[in-house]
Amino acid sequence: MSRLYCMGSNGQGQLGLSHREDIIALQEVPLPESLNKIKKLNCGGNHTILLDSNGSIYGTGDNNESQLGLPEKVLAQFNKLQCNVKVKDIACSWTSTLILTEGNELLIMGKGFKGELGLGSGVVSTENKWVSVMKFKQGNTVKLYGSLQNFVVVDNSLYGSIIYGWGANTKCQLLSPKSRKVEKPTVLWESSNTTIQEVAMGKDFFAFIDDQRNLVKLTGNVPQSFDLKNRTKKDILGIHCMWTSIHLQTANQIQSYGNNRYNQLFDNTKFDRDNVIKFVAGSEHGILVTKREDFFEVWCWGWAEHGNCGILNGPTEVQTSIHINDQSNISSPPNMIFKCKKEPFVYGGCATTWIWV
Amino acid sequence: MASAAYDQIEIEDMVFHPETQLFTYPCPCGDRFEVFIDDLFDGETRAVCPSCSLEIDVIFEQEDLAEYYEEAGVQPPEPLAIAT
Repeated sequence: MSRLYCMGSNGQGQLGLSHREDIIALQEVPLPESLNKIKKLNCGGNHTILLDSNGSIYGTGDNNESQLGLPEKVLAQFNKLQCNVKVKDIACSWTSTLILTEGNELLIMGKGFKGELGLGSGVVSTENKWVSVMKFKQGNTVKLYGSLQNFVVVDNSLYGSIIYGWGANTKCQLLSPKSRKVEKPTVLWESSNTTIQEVAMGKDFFAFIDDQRNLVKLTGNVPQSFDLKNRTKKDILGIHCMWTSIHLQTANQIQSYGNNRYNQLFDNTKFDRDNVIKFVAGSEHGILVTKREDFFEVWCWGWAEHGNCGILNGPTEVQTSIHINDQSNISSPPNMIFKCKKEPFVYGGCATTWIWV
Repeated sequence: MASAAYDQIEIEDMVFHPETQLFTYPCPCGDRFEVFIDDLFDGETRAVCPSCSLEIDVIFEQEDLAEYYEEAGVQPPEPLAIAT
């Protein structure tokens, strides 16, 4: 059983806290008793999906586009989603939910006007049911990635990597030349000798990293200040994208490129820790984890208008009372929000911050 | 003076809703930036989010609006001057 904490934007109940207030201090999320250990958490615009180690999925937040497939239009607590098969992976677009079944079949539910359902010409809704997108060979290792108007799926086998993608293509984020949308899963790239390990998706640009930590492919409307030529060395420990910026973890630093209107680019001069072990990116904020002696710290930075980077120099424990966002932290420097003994998992959604242990 | 926009978005990346005559685009807060087609026609370039302070500049030419007016089945406030 996991414990889950969160804060930030909550207009549609996407935090699962039984209320719809934006909050600026971490609160514990009430979880259904049947939920086992959390394996993955993913957010769309206003909905949140949890995958547990039993292969069950749970959702909360906006269901107006049937992205959760439940009877209610809006939920403010995690509910088990109807699905007859065990689930291995999940990803969300703005208003849809994509799952990978144990039979390596991709199913989707929800709505999408930019081809992100992958169901072919003109299909923009699945009408409250799971619809099959495609199937992969048994035994292949398949990983799902979502951004607001796109999905990318990596299909790894003994014979190499194949990357599929679909959705908006107005910035050549999938294929050249540009097109308004790619409405069916389409091969973006394949290789028999390179294995893709990670895909980082911005709003309309994507980065692909291999298992040797090389940045092997970069597509779409990449922030101008970012230069792939200087980045082919094997020095990337992690890569994540906010919607309008790209961030690399290299030997204890976060190097950022792109939109900096709200302190999204990490300011290493305002950060005195030297042991970053991992980081993730939400829509316009980042979350990183450091290790100090025998405990871990979680820090947030970037656009914080919805309370998603916490109270500046505020508490580092989970709060039992609701701290409604007071707009005291809009544009956040690196800000410590949590301390714990066990290595935490972190995730950033659309102005939402998630920690589970 | 209006504050600088958070981002610039081309009109073809937005979603047009014929029933409300709104163009929308996802906001990083979870809500959507919105602007009416008639306001774009009249020279407005900003779309705003009802839930936060962020705004985007919409990149378009007036003649780009023709197909959306047609989709909504309504006439623009004045005839569109189509460049030849």
